[in-house]
Amino acid sequence: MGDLGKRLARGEVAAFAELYDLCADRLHHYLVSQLGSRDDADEVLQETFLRLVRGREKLAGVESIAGYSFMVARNEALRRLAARSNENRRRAEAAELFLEATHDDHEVREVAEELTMALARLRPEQREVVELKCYGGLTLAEIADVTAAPPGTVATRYRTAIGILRDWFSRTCHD
Amino acid sequence: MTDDRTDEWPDELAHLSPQKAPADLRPRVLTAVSEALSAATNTTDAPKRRKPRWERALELATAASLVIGIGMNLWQARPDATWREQAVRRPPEAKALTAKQPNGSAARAIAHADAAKADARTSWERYHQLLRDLAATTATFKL
Repeated sequence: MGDLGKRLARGEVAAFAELYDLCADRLHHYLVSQLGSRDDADEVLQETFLRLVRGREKLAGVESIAGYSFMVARNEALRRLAARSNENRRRAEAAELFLEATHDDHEVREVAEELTMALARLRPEQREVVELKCYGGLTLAEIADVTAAPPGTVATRYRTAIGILRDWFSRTCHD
Repeated sequence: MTDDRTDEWPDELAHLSPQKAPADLRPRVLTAVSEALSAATNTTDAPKRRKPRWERALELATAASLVIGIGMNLWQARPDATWREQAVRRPPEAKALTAKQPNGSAARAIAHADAAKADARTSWERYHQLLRDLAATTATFKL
């Protein structure tokens, strides 16, 4: 990772392609969950990479390039959300988050929709931690860096969110 | 902090596959990245603009006139400026006159010195009155 950081800092296009392959899917999923729109996520992901290009000198000293990329993406997403604060915030639909949401099998489709609904019940900061942990692949320490929250708070948010999701699923299974 | 185990994640959800970024986004992003990098490189490589001769001459002339202006200002404000002496004519000291003049003319000289002193005092008062008037009004002098 250190080598990739140095190559990025030197401005090698191939290094940015490598970074894209490493974390673009995860970043995109995170951005969809935050922005509620795949089109917006496309634009913000591109803007994230342009930000990384503009500040590439810093990348040589970054410990976790993926974590740093998530932090930049998060800032871009917040900027986008602030720009449209007067509009209603849209929640991502199941089809925008999970492949199974368009599956032929009704039961498989239902699980994806249930999870999307369960995620929507979480508070935004809990949903963000779950997203970064489970789909972004970040550690809790990295999430603390990305969200600028104390590590203990991040851990609590994660545990609480998982508890809510478990309750939700146990209730829906019993129904 | 808790450990990073993912087995806390409900089993029902573990097998769900997250959507990926659209396939056509990769070339779009990397093209934009490439353009941004080449633009940054061109900006860095561009030679620095050398100022034309007239621009440097203008800068030099401005600096020189500034220095001359400051110098002239200091010169006219020097402590021993003769104009100040001329503006306020001081009377000769009476003691000096008595010491130098012969006895007969000493009284006359003293009287003359006193008169000159009184005249000078009047001049001072006029001068101060003029300054007070000037401070009290915004009107300019008309000769």
